[in-house]
Amino acid sequence: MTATLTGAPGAPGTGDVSPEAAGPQAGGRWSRARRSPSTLAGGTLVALFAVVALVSLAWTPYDPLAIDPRIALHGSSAAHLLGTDQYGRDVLSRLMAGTQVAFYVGVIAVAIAAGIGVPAGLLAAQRGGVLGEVVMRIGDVVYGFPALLAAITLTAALGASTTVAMIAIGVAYIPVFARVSRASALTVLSSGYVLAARSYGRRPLAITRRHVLPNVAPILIVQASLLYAVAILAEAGLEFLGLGSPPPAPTWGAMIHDAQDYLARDPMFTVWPALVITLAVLGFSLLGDGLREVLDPGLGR
Amino acid sequence: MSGQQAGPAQSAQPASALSVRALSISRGATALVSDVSFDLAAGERLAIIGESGSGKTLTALAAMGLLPAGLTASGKVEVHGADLFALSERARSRLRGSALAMVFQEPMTALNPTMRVGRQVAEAIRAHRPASRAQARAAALELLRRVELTDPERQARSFPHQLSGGQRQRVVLAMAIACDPAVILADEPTTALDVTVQEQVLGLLSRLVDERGSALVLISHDLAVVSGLCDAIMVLYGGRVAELGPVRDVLTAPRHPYTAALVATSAAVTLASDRGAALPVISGQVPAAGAFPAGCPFRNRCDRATAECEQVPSLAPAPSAGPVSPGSASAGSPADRRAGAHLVACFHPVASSPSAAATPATAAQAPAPAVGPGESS
Repeated sequence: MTATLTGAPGAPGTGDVSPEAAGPQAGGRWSRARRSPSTLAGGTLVALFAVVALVSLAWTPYDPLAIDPRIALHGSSAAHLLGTDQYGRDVLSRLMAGTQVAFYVGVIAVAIAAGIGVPAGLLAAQRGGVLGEVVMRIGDVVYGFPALLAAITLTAALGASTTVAMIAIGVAYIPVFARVSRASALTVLSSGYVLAARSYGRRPLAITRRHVLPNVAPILIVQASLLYAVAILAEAGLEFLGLGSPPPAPTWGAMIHDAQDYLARDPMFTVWPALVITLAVLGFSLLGDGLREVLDPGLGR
Repeated sequence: MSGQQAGPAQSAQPASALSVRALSISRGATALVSDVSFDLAAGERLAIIGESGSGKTLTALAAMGLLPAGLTASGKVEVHGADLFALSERARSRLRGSALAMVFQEPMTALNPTMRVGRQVAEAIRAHRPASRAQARAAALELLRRVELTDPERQARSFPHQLSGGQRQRVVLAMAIACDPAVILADEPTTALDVTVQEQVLGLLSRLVDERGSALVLISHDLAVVSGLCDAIMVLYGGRVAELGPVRDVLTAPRHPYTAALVATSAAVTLASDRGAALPVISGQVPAAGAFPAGCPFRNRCDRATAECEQVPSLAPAPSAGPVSPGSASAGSPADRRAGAHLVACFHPVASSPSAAATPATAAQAPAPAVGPGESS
């Protein structure tokens, strides 16, 4: 070195004091979540259903499968709050037990859609080029096939089963997860901190795991919540058509199917399961929309 | 990324930590950087000066093998004798961080907003060293201490947005030196910072480079910043090297009209502010990338330009007096650069000013010009 420094190197780090002493970002998100009405309403509904599903595992007012012809088609009473169906089974108990199925179908659908869609989307984003195009075009083909039709075809071919139907729903939503994760991954991959990570020698897989995935996760959570709503609705539709779990399994869709024969006699038999389906779908949709507002960096910040 | 321009058999000496030979970068048919060459020995400090669009950052990214998609590079970049463009991406990523590292201009974007600072530094360590989480965390704290971050234990738990600009750039520095690189490429490391903090960070960068004997490439548009820190200056204009030489020579006796204008404007800032006089400016505007005139890229803003300047002037030892006949001299050999020769790419260089008596001596020592790399495009 031929000359001295432009300026005396000041005392280390004295000039720069932290502008904010606030808590971590997560705190900000949490408080925003609590202020968002749809997150709050959706979250409450979903939590309520989760509690009911858990409780129903251990306890329901009556055995949801116990038949008692003597009390068939009784309306609401103190003993049976929501009445009994045509076989004398307690409607409330069956609705509660049906919650388990609703959660189960969501888990299957989301696991398949996200489990295949997210890696495919991240791969397409990371590699790009021909491979990325091929992956996304395969997705387009899958997306072009109606989900419900696929589910009906599969259950018709393989026999009525909730699991098979939900695999079909999950497969149909693989492209959605692939697209969403690819799009957000591309944003992250073009960021300065990914360039920095590459500049200190990080390999693509490590970058995807440590930088891309955590930043994409919020958007995937939103998608998962929305897919839950879709899965519940689709499952109810299939059950209604008799393509889900065979009787006497207590499912909401099958309950509407059974109740339609008695619509003239007591419409409430149809109303209860329909109301529950509506609330469950509404809950997951609201939660998804609310979380989108809270978590999606594009909208919030 | 092949198609290297076979230079005149100048395989860089193993002594150079970083050797760039006839580097050209283009987007399709648009040349963004043309025929840039320099060598950097261990412990040496080179400043790359130029305005936005002059190709400084692209040159650095190419040296890292990190050019954005869509850009192609030709020429040769050798890191410790390894030809970077010939290596696999895997082999290149092994060199990044350990052989050469980069400090970025904007510390806010160079840090992941969702990751705590300590973990990000640990990430940089674990890229090359097999370390447990706890070991990496301890090493990260040590690094944060070395970059003189106040209260490193607490700051390590912070998110980037909770730090000030200066603190963030210290963290970025810590990540750059995490695996002891032999070469550090600092791309305008202080441009985003307050003036007072700038000086602290530059001082720190200088000490860190000294401690390890690393070579430094400091990219800047600020002559004052580099004058105190670097040994040599390379002035880029329009993606070409306009002038290259020891800091003292280039700043006291600039030979390229562009460099001369740069030095004049930056010197005049201090003087003019006293008198309230109008500041000198370089007339005209910087063309958009790829829209520079053919031949000498500066000729449409240069008052010395003649018809001759429609040819590309080659980088040659600065003559003591008089114009260089076109094509007679060519790019200086690495030996020239080592010897601290003052090279200029101009048909009508500015005469060495009488006040700068030191220049002619240096220039006169320049050995006979070697055959240079062919002009690209």
